Amino acid sequence: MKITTERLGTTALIRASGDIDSETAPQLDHVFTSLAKDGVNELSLNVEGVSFLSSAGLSVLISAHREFERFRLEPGNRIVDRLISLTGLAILYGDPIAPLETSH
Amino acid sequence: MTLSKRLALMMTVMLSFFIGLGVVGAALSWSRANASKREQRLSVSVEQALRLQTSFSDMETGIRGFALTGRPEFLEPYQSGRAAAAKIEAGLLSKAASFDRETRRALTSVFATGDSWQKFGEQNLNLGASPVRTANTADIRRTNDLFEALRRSLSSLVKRLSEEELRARKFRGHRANQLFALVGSIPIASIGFLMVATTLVKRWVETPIRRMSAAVHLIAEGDLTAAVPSSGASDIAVLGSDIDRMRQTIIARLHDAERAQQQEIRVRQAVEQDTILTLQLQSELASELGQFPDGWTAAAELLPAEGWVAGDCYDVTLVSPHRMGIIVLDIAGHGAHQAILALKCKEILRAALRAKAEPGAALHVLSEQVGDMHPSFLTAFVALLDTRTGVCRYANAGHPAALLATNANTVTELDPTGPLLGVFSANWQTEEAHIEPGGKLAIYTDGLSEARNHDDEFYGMERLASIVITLPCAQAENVIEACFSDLRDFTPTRLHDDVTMVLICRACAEV
Repeated sequence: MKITTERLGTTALIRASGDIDSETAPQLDHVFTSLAKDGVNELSLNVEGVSFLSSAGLSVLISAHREFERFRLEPGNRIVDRLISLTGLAILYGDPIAPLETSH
Repeated sequence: MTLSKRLALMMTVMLSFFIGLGVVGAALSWSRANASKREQRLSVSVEQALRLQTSFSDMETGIRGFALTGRPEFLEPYQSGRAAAAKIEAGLLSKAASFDRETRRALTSVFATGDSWQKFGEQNLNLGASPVRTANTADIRRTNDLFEALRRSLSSLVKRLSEEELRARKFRGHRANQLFALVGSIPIASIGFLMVATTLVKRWVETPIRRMSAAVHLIAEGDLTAAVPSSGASDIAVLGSDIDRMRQTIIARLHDAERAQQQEIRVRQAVEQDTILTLQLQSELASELGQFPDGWTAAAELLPAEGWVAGDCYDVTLVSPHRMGIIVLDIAGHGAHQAILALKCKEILRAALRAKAEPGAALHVLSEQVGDMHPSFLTAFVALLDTRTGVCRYANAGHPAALLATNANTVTELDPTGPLLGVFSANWQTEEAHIEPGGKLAIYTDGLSEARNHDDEFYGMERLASIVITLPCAQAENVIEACFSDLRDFTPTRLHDDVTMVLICRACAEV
C-alpha cells in the first residue's frame, strides 16, 4: 500500500493505493491518528488506486469517520464502492470537502 | 610481569651477585698476595738492618782500634764493613719506597747519622792517612758519640721495620680470613638464592595454579559459583582471569538456556492451554449439524485463518419442527476475543429465532444487545427456512450475498438487506426467497471470496457459484467438500482470513 498526504490548514487529502488489508490497514490508521492529533478535522480519502479493501480496512475507515469532524471517502473505485454498498456504509462517502476534493 | 621476565630478572640478580662475589674474591686474593710480598720484603729489610748493624759495629771496631793504636791493620775491618754497609744500604734504599713514612724517616736518619759518623771519622781521625798518628781524645769521644747516635738510629729502624713487618703479617692474615669467609659464603649464598627462587616460583606459579586448580575442580564438579582466582605472574594471572571469564560465560549461557527453557515451557503450557481453548471454541464456532426433515441436508466448513481462532461462526438448527434457523456471521478480525464475541452473537441470534423473531428483527435484537462494537463490527446472514415449503425468509447485515442456486442452474444473489452491524444504528429488512426441490443455498464469508492465489487473484464468488451450480444436490456434504478442495487447489498457502461456508440442499422432487 502507498499513502500520500496533502494538507491545507485543518484539511487533509490522503491518497491510498494498493491493498488495504489486515497487514497494511494499521499504517493508514496511523496516518489518520497522527493527522487528527495534529489538528486536522476535515479529511478526504481518495482510494482510486486501491485494489483491495478488507474488513480491517473498513474498520479503519469507520474509525476515521468517527474521529474527524468531516470525513469523506471519495467514491469512484469499483471495488471499494461495491464493498461500501454491500456493507451499507454509504454514510462514509459524506459530502465533498473543498478545496482538496479531487475530480473523477 | 610475565613469568619468563620474572625468571630472567631473578637469574640476572643471581648472576650479578655471583659475579660481584668473584670480583671481590679476586680483589681480596690480589691484596693478600701483595701483603705477602710486602711482608717478605720487610722481613728481608729487618735482616738487612741487622746486618747493617753488624757492618757498622765492625767499622766502629776498626775505627776505635785505628784511633787508639794508629795501626793500619785495624782499618781492614773498617773497610770491609764499609763495603758491606754500602751494599746493604743500597738494598734498603731500593725497598724504601714501600716502607711507611716513619720507617723511611728512620732509614733516612740511619743514612744521615751513618754519613756524619763516617765523614767525621775519616776527616778527623785521618783514616787511611800516612804516616800514622794517634787521635786526640776529644775526637775519639766525638766519634763515639756519633756512633752512639747511629746505633740508636739503627735500633729505631730495626724496631720500625719489625713493627711494619708485624702489621704486614697481620694484614695478610686478615685478608686470608676475608678470602676464606668469602669462599665459605658462596655455598651459603647459593642455598639462600635457591630458597628464595623456590619461594618466588612457588608464589608466582605453584600457588596460583594450585588455587586455580581447586576452583577449576569445583567447576568441573558442577559448582559454577567457585570464582577462579587470578594471581602470580601476569601470564598466569591472565590465564586465571580467562578461566574465570569462561566460567562466567558458561553461567551466562546456562542462564540464557534456562530462561529459554522456562520460556519454552511457559509457551508450551500456554499453547497447550490455548490449544484446548481453541479446540473448545472451534467446536462451538463450527457446531455439528443435525438431521433435517423433509429431504433437506446441510453441511458446513470453517477454516480459521492460519494460527488464529476464527472470528467466523455458523449455526444451522431446527428452531421449531419445520423451521430451520440458519446463521452465518463474521466478526472483523480473528482471535480468542472475536471467537467468544461470535459465540455470544450466535446465541443471541438463535435465541431470537427460537422466540419466533423474523431474521431482520433478530439482527435488530443483536444490534441492541452488543451495542457499539467499534473498532470491530460484524456481518451476518440470518435465515429462517420452512422445510415443508422451501420458503426462506432472510436478512443480510452487510454480509457477502448468499447464493441461491436452482435446479435449472440459475443463481440468485441474496444481497444485504441492511448495513453491517455494531457500528451504526440501523434496521435490517427481512426478505423472502424460495428454494425449489434440487435447489441449494450457499452462504459464505468474505474469507472465501477474497482468498488469493500466488498471482494475487481473488477466488471470487463466480468460481464458487460455478461449482455450487454444477454439483448434484444429493448431499450437501459432497458439495462443501468439492468447494473446499477447489479452494485448496486455488490457494495452497496459508489463509489470511477465516473461511466459512454453509450449504443447504433441498432434495430433488421424488420421482
